[in-house]
Amino acid sequence: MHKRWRNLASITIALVYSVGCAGCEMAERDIQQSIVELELARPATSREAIWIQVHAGALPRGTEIRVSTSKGVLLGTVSPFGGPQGPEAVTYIIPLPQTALVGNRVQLRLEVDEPGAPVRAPRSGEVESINLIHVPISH
Amino acid sequence: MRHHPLRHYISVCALDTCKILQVSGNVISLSNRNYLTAITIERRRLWCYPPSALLKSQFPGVGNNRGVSGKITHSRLAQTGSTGVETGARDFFPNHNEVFLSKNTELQPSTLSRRAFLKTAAAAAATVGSATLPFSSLHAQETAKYRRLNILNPDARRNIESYKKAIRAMLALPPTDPRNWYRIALTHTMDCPHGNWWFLVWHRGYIGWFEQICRELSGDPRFALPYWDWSENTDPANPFRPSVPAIMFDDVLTPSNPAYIAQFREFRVRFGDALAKASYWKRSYKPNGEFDDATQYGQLLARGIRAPEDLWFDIIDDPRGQFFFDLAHARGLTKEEPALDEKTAKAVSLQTLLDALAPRDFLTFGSPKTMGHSGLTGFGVLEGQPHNRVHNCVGGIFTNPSGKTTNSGGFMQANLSPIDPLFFLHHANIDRLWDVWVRKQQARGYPVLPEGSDLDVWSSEPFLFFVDSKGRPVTKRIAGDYATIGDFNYDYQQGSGEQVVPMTLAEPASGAVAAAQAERFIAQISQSSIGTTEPAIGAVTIPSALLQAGMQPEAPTLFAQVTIALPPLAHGHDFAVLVNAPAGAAKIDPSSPYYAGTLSMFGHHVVHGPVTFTIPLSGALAAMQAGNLLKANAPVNIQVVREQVAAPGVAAIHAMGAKAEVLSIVVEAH
Repeated sequence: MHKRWRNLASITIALVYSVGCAGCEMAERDIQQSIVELELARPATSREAIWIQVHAGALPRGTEIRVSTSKGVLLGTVSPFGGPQGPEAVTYIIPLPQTALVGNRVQLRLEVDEPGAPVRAPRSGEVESINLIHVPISH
Repeated sequence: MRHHPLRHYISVCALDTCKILQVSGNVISLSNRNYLTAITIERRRLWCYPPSALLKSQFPGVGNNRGVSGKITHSRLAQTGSTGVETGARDFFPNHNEVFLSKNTELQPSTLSRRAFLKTAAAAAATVGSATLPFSSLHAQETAKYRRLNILNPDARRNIESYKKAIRAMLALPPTDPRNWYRIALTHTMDCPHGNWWFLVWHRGYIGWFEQICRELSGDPRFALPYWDWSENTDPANPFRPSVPAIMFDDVLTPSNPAYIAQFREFRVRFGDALAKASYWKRSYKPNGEFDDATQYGQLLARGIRAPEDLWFDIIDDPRGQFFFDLAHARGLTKEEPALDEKTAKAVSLQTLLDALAPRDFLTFGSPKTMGHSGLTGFGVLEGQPHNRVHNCVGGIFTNPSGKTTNSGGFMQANLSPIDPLFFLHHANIDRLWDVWVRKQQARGYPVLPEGSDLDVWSSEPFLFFVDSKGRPVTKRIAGDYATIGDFNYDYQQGSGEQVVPMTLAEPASGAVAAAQAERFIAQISQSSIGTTEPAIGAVTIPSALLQAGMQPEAPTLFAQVTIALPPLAHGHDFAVLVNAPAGAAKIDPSSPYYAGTLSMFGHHVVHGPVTFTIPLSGALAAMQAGNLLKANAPVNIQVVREQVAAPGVAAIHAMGAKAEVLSIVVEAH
């Protein structure tokens, strides 16, 4: 598997791909999942939230990217709508619960839901980058 | 007798359920659904409050079952939803002439300012631990001429019937009439912005003019669009399960009704000629001979539509996905299975909504900047999560609980989505949330629009396709014309998310809350061991004033400190903290109002002793407040349960035999 990741300023991203253990149920599952680990450059202040910013490439109609914690708790969905997307990546913002951050780190699971196909990991170009952003909030 | 004329400015308070029941002479009878109602007059506006929080010393007579006085009565008729009364004084005073309140010995305009009233009431409530604080929003919506109601509100029934009439009338109009149902939908196809900072403002104009057309063609001059509050938990006794309102499967409220065009071929035949001859394709030039981009045709070119054939290609021939769906696939969700899927339930959950409303600037709240409104750059939370996912789910892109995704088709998934009447209720809710955010921003002194030079760019973007109730091009032709609700003159029945608008939390109450910050509330543990399916359970009594204050801005945040003894090498053990969850709750995820957080071990360290986790409770408590799941003066039940791994096809991972035990639960306010 090969992926293209970019724009990772101030963010550490570690991809965990499991491609071994053929015949092992765990391996099959992991092949269908990408786990990314993100680290905050600095903690959020009391007037900031930490959100996830996904730069997604063009996805076929009906195809979505599910963003969950590494344990599978759903956080949000990259769900395109509108006209067909051009060649440029489009950003999607997904709120991240404070409790998902442990020691300024979070592990996220990215899975692609595609009509009529098994759940799979993102393919090249479908997720161009993912990072954490500090968002000024009013409470 | 002294009278107080209220010229033009009668405003029923923002306790949304308040209703004028009767006007007889100079007596106005008021009620809301649950409380007796008192009124005050200030700044020539009429305000009403639940009298349970009024100070009897200030308002003699309040608090008994006869209302404020013999002149101002109360009724519980509205509770039944069968009164047929209308909200909004203007319905009763259509000419906006003088309205007289009888002289009331206790309620004079200058007796007590509204702010002072709220201060004293808040202080009283905090002092006595009242379960009811009378906070009306400082930035409550002014009473408008039209009120958009939650579609589940019984009072919305008349609007729904008028909506049906309007739809039938629009379906029957010739294709040459720009108010024809499909022509209106095509306006969306040709001009809608998505994934950019004009998303909100364009759709405000679009549904605002649509509402006026409905008013005209239904013959109902009081018509206002209902909204679909997807985040409302209609069954608080059970886990949040949002669904398409049942009424939206009736008659012409579903695009599957035979009144709609059954097949694309017929659509093309009926509309091909009208579209080709429409004004969209007119080429206009500036005096210097340059093509004028600020024309309908210029806007079409900006999104790659050069000629009618390009439009038809998008609608049906684009291999990336068509816009038109035959009758059998006009809507993905059905009357038999109207529920949104898990991803959509998460997207419309109250927590996601509150997150979406949290940003302090327009660009983060809305969506990012682009050069023109046909550009697609990115999606803020409001557009990208609830907006997009509801469109796609209703439009048939559905992931079932086992993780299988299907696309059964449906107009809502693409740019002909306004063919589905649910579109306008969906976008009315989006627009309502924009209004909620604006009032929150105003109350806190934050900007409500793009700032600096951005505002000029944003405001001057041309919106050239809207037509009025007579089908004429409108004169409001730029985005800035729709920056406020303005002449559309509607407001909203309050709904999900309203709690982010600051309420009046007066100094005395703040003082009371501040005093509580140092307090700690220790839970009584009734079950300490965490079994495979059995939770640890604790109950903690938190003063109701503190719970109520938790809904206010600047109020302290409540945290639960959970100390738990884990077995060594406890990796893979996650525990969810639940608040007031029903017994045997099988699946609690962050979209549930009962979910507070997860205790998660991270890393590969060895656990040698008890570990204390801090879990914010305010979010869960706010969700429960919204769902009326908190009982006054009742202990708050906190459970710690083993968390199930929710990934499709993945079984929960438990280290069998491992013991975990909750040693203490302490709630603190910070």
